[in-house]
Amino acid sequence: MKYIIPLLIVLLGIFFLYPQLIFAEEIKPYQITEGQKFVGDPHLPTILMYKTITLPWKSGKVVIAGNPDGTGDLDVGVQFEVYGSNTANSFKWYAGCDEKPMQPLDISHLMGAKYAHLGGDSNIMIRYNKVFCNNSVKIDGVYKNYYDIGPAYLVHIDDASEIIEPFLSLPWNYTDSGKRFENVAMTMTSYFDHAYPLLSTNLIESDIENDSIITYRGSPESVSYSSHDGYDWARKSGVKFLDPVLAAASGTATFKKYGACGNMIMIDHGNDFQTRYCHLDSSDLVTTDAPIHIAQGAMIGRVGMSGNTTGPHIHFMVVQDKDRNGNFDDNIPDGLVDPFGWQGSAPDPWESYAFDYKGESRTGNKSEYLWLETLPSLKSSLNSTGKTVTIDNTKVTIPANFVTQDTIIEINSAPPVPKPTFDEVVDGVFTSIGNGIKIRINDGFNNYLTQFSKTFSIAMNFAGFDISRYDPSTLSIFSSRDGVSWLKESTVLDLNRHTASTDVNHLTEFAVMGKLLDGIAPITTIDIDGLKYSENKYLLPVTISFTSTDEPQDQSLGVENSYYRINGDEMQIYTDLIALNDIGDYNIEFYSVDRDGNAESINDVAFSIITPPTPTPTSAPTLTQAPTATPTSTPSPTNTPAPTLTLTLTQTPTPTVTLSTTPTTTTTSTVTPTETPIKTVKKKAKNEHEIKPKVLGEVKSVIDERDPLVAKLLRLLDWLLKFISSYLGANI
Amino acid sequence: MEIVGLIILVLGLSTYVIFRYNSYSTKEVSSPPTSGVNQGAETYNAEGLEISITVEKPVLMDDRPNFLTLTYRDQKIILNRIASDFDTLDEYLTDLFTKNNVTEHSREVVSIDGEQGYKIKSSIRITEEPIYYVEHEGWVYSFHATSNELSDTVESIQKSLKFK
Repeated sequence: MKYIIPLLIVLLGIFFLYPQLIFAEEIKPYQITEGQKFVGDPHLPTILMYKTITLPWKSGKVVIAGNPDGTGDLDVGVQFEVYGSNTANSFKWYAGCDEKPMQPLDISHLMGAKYAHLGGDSNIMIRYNKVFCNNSVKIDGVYKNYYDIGPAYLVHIDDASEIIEPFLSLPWNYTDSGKRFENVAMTMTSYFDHAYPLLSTNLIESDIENDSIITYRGSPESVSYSSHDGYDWARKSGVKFLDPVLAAASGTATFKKYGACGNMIMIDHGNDFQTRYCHLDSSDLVTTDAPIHIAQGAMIGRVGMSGNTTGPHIHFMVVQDKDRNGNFDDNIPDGLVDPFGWQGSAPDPWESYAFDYKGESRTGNKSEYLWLETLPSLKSSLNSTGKTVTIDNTKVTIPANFVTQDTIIEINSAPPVPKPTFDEVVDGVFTSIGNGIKIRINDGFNNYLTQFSKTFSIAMNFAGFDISRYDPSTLSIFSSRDGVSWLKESTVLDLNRHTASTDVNHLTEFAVMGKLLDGIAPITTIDIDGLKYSENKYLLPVTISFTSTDEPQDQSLGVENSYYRINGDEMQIYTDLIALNDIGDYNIEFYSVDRDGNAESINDVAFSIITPPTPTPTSAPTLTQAPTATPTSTPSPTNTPAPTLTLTLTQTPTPTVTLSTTPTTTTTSTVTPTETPIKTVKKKAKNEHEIKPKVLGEVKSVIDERDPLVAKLLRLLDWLLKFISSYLGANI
Repeated sequence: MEIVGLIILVLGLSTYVIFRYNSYSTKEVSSPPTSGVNQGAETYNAEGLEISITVEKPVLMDDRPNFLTLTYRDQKIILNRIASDFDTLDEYLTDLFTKNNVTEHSREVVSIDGEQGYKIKSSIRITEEPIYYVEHEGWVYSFHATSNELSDTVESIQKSLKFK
């Protein structure tokens, strides 16, 4: 008895110091057969043998292999079949009469999590079928078929000793905007750092960990803040300032206000987990004093900027009461978990991280996927009997004998295709209507099949989508083998039932698309009203205005808004003339959006508003040396005030005047008028592609004329010509 | 002697004309970027990142939401993205590098599918290779190789990457 207590203490110590020894992945082999030889009548198709294995599966990978560690090939005779009771799904593999070995077969998709949380066991039936083959042997004077079956094991690679049931929803309303979990969950601006989430403590990571993060995906990345202990969702997720923040699950809410987190609501969900919501606005908090019970999805406050934040966002974190003492604070940080779980192939560094904090030795925590919603995905066996699968808005019907041996079919929702490219030339602008679908079929060993001898049918329903702005004659199912280039499929369209269907014999991605009645973005021009001093230079007063047009005129609903911003300020909706009253450089960006949502690329125009230069006596002599420039520079009296004329002529660069005696004078003197003030009423910019090269090119040519190197070379050339002239005694 | 003078004259004028021609053509004409994509490369549609890239076929491709890993022998190229709440890539990088105590060693402006991005060498220890960053529609994309053996492949990603 005296040894029991120390022994327990030692065991507890091992438990706390090395929990991975207890929670680590465990390989559990179940023997199917030691291997057997069968001889039977070749004309009687029957079952050679079968075995049912019952295992307490809750999670983890399950394979059938030739050795107990799940890695070896196995001899299965001619045909092998496995059936899962929880999924009512089976997989059959035909080895052929030459009885080729089978690679380890992953049958995880046959296990099914449907009843796992109820503690029910899974039944897996393995069957070896006898198929007629002309490989008979003669026994006692009679020819009989002969089969050789090798050792086989069902191997469960158990990755969790305890299942935590998903219970969380995202803490804001994204469904009202028509979005789904898979659209918004991954739009976080910051991840949980699995190495290590110490933000709420005064612990400092080592140099090697503090400049990057390890996300739930398992690889070190440099896109998010190191030490972050939760997830941030902001603008990209549709989370805006003062939007309601919702309870991720039901429970008891309490309020706390402290430093970096600002206004925080904490919800104890009664399952040893607590969720925390930081940076809330001080308005409409569900409680600021007594604990209050709230339902899942109830509003607990509003998105704010309290505490340390650069902008409005929801900081969401999950804490587990590891010691189950009802206090979550004493499990910060060691009770923190990532609600997206851990998907890395290597062990989660946070789970085994040992550290001292507040005088205690602690270890990090194991993370499980805790969201109620998952990304839509379907993976099941497809055999020769065919299958009908419905996912989202699409029904896939695969006929009998589509595949000759069992395969695994994966069907996933695919994102919309806003700007498809096509294998062949199409007229107009097309876009997909709603999500697409991606279908993949593999042979069970991750070899994907893309082309088939038979066709299968796809029916896509687009009810609920507004198709009034599509040309109905163009609606069709399109397919893409690579997800990049699309091809129109022969499609039967039923506008009454809002369905499009097609028969195809290939994979992989499909979507309903149509030609937009108006898929063309508006074109916006800028009018700059002011006295033009030179190219891109104006004198006060200056006003700007925008004009936009939308094509095609017969289908356009018109321009909804034009937007502009000046010198990088906030974009504003254009309503009226804009007066520019200050001297300086201006960069105007502008674009328009039509009522079909077609947005123009942002146009960009740069110019300066300057003060009129004052005459300088030192430059006056150059006027007398430039007689040829005078006629071309003379502005018309109606356009130019007289004082400005004098000013410009005195500014004429010396090299230009000198060269007026050479044949190149003509080229150079044409630049001079650009220095002359011209009353310019309008300057139109058509769009980004047209205006940029033109404006920049003109500006550069002016710069070239003033390049000191050019000036030196011109002087040198001038000297050379004079020298030659005097030497030859002739005028050139 | 007159012939010598004429030769000098012709040479002088030729120099002038050539200089003028070159000074305009180099400043006004920008050559389109040449493709760095290998002839044997294939185009992949990375669903989790909503991009396509044209690269040499990897041994293994792991395509997940916001994440793509290309494995070549024992080295990898990692591409990922994260939503950004900043208006510009510069603001995002300034904030990220400040919070993660990252020192920039060099920064080169690169074009990625028409967007201005950066090729940055820094003190980040996850790789000694430069990390590319580019912002597109509120997402900041980044990619890098784990070894300089894959620097050509990373460059081909930079040149072939298309946002969907």
